[in-house]
Amino acid sequence: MRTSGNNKLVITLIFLALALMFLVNVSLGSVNIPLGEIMNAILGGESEKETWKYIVLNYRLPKAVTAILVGSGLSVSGLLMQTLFRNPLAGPYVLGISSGASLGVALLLLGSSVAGGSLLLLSTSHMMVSIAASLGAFGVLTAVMLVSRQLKNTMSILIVGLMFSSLSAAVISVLAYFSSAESLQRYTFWGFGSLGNLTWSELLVFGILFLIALLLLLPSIKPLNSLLLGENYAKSVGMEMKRTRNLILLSTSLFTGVITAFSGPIAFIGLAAPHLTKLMLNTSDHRVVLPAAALFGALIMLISDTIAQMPGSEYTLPINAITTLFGAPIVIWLLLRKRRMVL
Amino acid sequence: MKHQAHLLMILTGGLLLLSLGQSCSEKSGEKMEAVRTESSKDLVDYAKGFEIQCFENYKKLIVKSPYPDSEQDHEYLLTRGDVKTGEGIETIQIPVKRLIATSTTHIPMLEVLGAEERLIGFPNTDFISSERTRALISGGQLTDIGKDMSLNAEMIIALKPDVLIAFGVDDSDRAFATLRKNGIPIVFNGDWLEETPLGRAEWIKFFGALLDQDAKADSVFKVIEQEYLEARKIAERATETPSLMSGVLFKDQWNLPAGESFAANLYRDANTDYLWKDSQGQGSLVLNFESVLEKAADADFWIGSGVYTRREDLLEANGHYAEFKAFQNHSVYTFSMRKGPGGGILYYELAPIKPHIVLKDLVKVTHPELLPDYEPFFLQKLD
Repeated sequence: MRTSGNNKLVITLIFLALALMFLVNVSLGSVNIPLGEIMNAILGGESEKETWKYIVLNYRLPKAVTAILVGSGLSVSGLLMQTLFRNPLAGPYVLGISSGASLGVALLLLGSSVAGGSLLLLSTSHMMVSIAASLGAFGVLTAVMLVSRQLKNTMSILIVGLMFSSLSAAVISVLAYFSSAESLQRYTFWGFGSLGNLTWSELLVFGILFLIALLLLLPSIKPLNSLLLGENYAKSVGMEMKRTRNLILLSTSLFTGVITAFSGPIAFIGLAAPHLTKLMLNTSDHRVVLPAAALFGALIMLISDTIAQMPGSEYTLPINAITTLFGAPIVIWLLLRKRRMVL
Repeated sequence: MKHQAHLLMILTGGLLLLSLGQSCSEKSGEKMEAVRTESSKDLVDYAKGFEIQCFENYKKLIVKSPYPDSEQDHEYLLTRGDVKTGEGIETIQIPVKRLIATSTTHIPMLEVLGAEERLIGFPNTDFISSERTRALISGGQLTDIGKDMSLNAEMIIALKPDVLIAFGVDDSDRAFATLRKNGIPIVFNGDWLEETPLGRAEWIKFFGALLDQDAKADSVFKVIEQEYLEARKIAERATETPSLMSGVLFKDQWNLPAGESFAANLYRDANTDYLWKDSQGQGSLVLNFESVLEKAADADFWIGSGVYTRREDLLEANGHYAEFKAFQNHSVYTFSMRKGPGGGILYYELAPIKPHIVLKDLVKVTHPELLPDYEPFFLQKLD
């Protein structure tokens, strides 16, 4: 009983930290806006400067919400992959799922120019890009899944993931070679997506797709616990393996695909956040770990974004640089301590 | 004493002016005593990236900024026939008869000197927009030597050029080493590194030296210089200096020209108030959205909208663009509208040799009353 109490405390603390970080993230930026003015803007009051109000309401707030969605989504899909593959190193970025999503978008944006203009009309909408990214993510995820059945070794699966991301990158550069300058530009600009360029209406679409992925996931939370003990065990307790696995695959690719479509490939959050969460909790019950990982992923993403904005300066760092600084050491640490890993 | 010193300065200044712009070939007809007949200052006025030195029977081309942060000058001897110079540096026989160029900015310079037929190879010929040179491509006289930045060394060796005019951010291309080993001189052209529009245009003298057409290059440049200075004078008559913003977001980062850059110099010459004119640096600034919005929300003009040539494209890429007054007032302009048959942007190809047109475009857009009958060529409004 005491342990579950502890876990509740941890989750509450993460939640409070997240709320605090949200406020910090919205208050800090390269333009120095007094705290009073920020509250004023949020509460709908008149602002001293029109640009300040716009920056808070239409730039910082959507960016913070995007960061939360991206962080929690990536963290959840990382956790799902780690359970599904029974492999601590699984994650959307490491296994090449994010590259798969990029490949999907490349096929849509570049492939249409190679194959003729028919698809180009469709390719402009965020919805189409999201679907393409999700399909790409699904393709790579399924492929890695199939290969991983043959290879039980953690390292080998990691290498397979690496190969898939290299393969995607290679296909993309071949496509780029043959496509027109114009569509190449479109793709390049998409590929470096960011947290900060979503307006509220785009965020709404993002939110809806995110919700769908979440709904797909809900029925499989409980069976996930049995999966931790291995597929055979899961089967023996009467779990419908196939259906659960398919749902998880679908949900994970939707998460990764949609997030990649809206904010570009984001490194390492999906791998690092679940592990850090599990270190803090003393249970592997997904009913506890999953929401905690979602909250913690959102927290890390908000912190990373706040750092990337370099408050007070006119400059800004690429978000991936920050998340990689977070994540890469964790991968090394995991590899070094692999024997003691808890799934 | 003070007065005398002044007088002396004026006199020497006048003498310097007289000798300004004289080219090697004009000088070489005269009797010359000294080995080095003329200092580089006399031949190249605005460009900082190269020098031409004339000696009795040869010239020396010194490229001082072949690529960014280069540590060494690149020196070449340009000789006619078999001349013993006694200097142990790379020698190029002039006039160069077969050459390979690598940047579209080289094309108009060759054309103006009537030497486009000496161009035998170019990477990615699609990007060449000029009709005269395009005719050579379709006629098969001009070979495509590789897509993108990667040069096909085999094809180049087979073409046997006298010289390859390169450009790039460094000298690391593996193809260059191969070509040098095969005796093909590689001369870096650093026109794009010049900070001033006239400095960039002056690189025509670089081609003039290689093609042994110094006098022609010089007279072409003089016309450009004159027209540019005239346009600048017209701009000075303006009573108001409208404020200017520039650039677009790329990955949460807004790229715009720094205060000492080529573009900032153009904006200054057009008598406009570029909002980042006081920033340091010759390249570009990478700022974040908030700080750009804070500074430029009320800017009068938005010059240079990156790859976007339509208002809706801008908005689709980022809805926040609508927040700028320049966008709301339909005052967004781009240089990228005019494209050649292969999709190359005309501005990139022609701007270096037509800085006067670029300046006039800017003056027309920002001070329309000063050039009532002028029609901008490069600078177009986003529709």
